[in-house]
Amino acid sequence: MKPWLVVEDDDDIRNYVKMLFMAWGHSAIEFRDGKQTFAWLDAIESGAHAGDLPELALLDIRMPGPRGNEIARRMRSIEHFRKIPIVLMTAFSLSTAEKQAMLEHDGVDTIVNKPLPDLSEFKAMLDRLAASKQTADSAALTPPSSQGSDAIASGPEK
Amino acid sequence: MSTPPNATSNDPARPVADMVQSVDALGTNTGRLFGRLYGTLRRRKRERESALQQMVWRANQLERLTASQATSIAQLTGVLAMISEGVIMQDNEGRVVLMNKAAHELLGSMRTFWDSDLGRMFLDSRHLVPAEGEITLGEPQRVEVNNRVIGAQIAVVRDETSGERLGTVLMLRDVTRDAISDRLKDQFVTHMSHELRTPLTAIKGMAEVLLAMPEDRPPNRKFLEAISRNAAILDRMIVELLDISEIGAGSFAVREQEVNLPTLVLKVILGLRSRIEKADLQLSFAVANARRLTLLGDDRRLQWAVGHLIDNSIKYTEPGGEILVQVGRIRDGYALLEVSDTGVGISPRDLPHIFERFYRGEARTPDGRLIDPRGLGQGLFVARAVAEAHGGYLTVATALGEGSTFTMALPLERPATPPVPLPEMPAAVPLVPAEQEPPISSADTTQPNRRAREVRGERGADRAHPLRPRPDEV
Repeated sequence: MKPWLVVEDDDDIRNYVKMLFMAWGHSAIEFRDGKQTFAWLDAIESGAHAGDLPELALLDIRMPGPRGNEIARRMRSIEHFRKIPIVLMTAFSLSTAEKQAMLEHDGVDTIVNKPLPDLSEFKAMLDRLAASKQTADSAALTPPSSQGSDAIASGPEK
Repeated sequence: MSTPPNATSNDPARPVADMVQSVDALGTNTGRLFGRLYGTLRRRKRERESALQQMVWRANQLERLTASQATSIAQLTGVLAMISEGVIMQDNEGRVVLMNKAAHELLGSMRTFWDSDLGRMFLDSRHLVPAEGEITLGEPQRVEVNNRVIGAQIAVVRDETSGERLGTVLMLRDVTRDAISDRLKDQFVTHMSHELRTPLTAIKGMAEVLLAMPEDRPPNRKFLEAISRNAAILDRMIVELLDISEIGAGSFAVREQEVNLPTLVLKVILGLRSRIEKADLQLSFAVANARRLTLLGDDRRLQWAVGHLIDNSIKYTEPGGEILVQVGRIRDGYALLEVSDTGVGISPRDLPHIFERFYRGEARTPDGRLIDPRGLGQGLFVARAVAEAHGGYLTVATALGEGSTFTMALPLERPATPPVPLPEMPAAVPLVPAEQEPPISSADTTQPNRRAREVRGERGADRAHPLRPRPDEV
C-alpha cells in the first residue's frame, strides 16, 4: 500500500479524496493546510520523520498559509519527491500564464479543476501519471495498478 | 444646477468614454474660445483691406462682435469653472491658458501635473496634428494622481479658419469609485467561481461514490450529510446573493418573528464552534438584560448577519487570539450586540470601504503577511443591510494590529416604518488600548473623531455606490 498525499483545507473534499485513495488501494496521508504540510516537510528534511513517504501528491492550490504550488516547489527540493507525480487541484479559473508558471517553475505535473473529474477518469489519470513517472524513473518496471474503476465499491468503508 | 455634481461623477453608467461627449459638446466652443484667447495673446495679423469703406464697415462690425464675444467668453469660462470635470487648456509649449476649479482640486498644482502621467499625455500628444475639424481626440486613459484614479482625455485643438494648431484641452474626471468597482467586479467573479465550485466538488464527488456502491448497500450516512451540508451552503449563497440584489434595489424586506437574541447568537456560535477551534481561537459569550432581549425580527437573516460578524473575527484573528461576543447592553432603546476580537484590525485604507458590497480589504498580520480568506466580501455589507432593515445599525471601532469591535444595534421596540435618520453617534471609533479604557466603553464615546466622521461620510456616499443603482435612478 503506497501512501498518497492529499492537502486540502475543505474538510468534506479532503475526506472524499482520502476515501478515494483508500478505495483505490492506497493509504492516505492528509494535511489541512500549507502550514501543517511545511511542518511535515521540515521533519522529513531534518530526518526526524520516520513514517512512510507518499508516492503521489494531490494538493489544493488556495489554502491558508503556503499554497499548493509552493508546497510542490518545496517538495521538489527534497530528494524523495523529485520524481513522484504532483497534481494540483483548484476551484479557480487559472490563466494560461498562471498554469504555465506552476507547471514550469513549481515542478507540478498537472493541474485539475474542481469539481474533480469523474471517478474512473480521475483514477485513470492519476494511475497513468504514477506509471509514467515510474517508467521514467527506473528501467525495472513494476506492473501498473490493475484495479478497475469499480474498485470503489469494494473499498474500505468509513 | 439642478443635480449636484456628485450625482454624475458617481454614476456607474457613465464611464470615462462618456467624457468624449463632453469634449465633443465643448469642442466647438472650445475651438472658438481658444481662438479668441490666443488671439488676445498674440497680436493678430489682420489682412489689410484696400477699400476704406470696407475698413470702416469692418471696424464697426468687429467692435460689435468683440463685445458679444467677450460676453460669450465670460459665459464659457463661467461654465468651465462650474462643471465637475477638470479642464486644462494649454498652448503648444505647455503653458496653461486655462485651468478650471475642478482641475485645481484634482491636481493641486501644475507641478503635480508634470510629475504625473498627465504630463506624459501632453508630451505624447505633441505629434498629434489636428486633421479636419476643430479638435482631434486622444485615447481616454486612466491616470493615478494624488492617490486618486483620474480618467483623462486629451484633445488637440486647431483654429477653424487658419488650420493652425492652437494647443490642447485635457478633460479630467475623478473615476476612483469606478476603478474600485471594476476591481470588485473582477474579484467577485473570481471568488464566486471558487465559492460555487468548492461545495459542488464535495456534492458531485460524494454523489458519484454513493452511485458506485451496490444498490443493496445502504448509502453512507456521512456522505449524505456532507452532500446535504454543501447543498445548504450553495442554497444560502444564492439566497444571500438575491438579498444583495434586493438591498441594491431598495426592496429588501425582513420578516417579523419573535426572536430571542441571546438564543439566536448562541445558536450561531455553536454552528461556528468547529471553525473557532480549528482557528485556535478562544470565544467568550456574555449576556446582559436577558429578559428584555426578545424582539421582532427575521430569525434567519439575523443569524446570518451575526454569523458574518463572528466569521469576520475568525478570519482576521490570528491563532491564539480571542473573540468576545456580548449581547444585551442597551443604549437609547437599542439592544447592542458586540463582537470584539484581538485580530489584525482594519487599515485606514480599507476602513471607509468595508461595508461596501463585495469589498475585500488587504488585511495583513503585524509581520506583513497578507490574510486572504475565502468568501465573496459580502459579509459586512449583508450584516449592515440586515441591521438597517430591522431599523438598527452596524458600526465598527478598530485599531490596526490590535483588533476590531463591530456593534450591531437593534431597536427594542420595532417602529412600524424603519426610521430614516440614524441616532447621532460615531460610526467608528478607534479602539483605545485596554489598560486605558476597556474597548467596550470606547464605543460609547460621544466625541466622534476624524476617522469616525470619515466612515460616517462614507455611509452616505456608499448609497451611491457604483455597483448599486441609486434609488432615484431606478
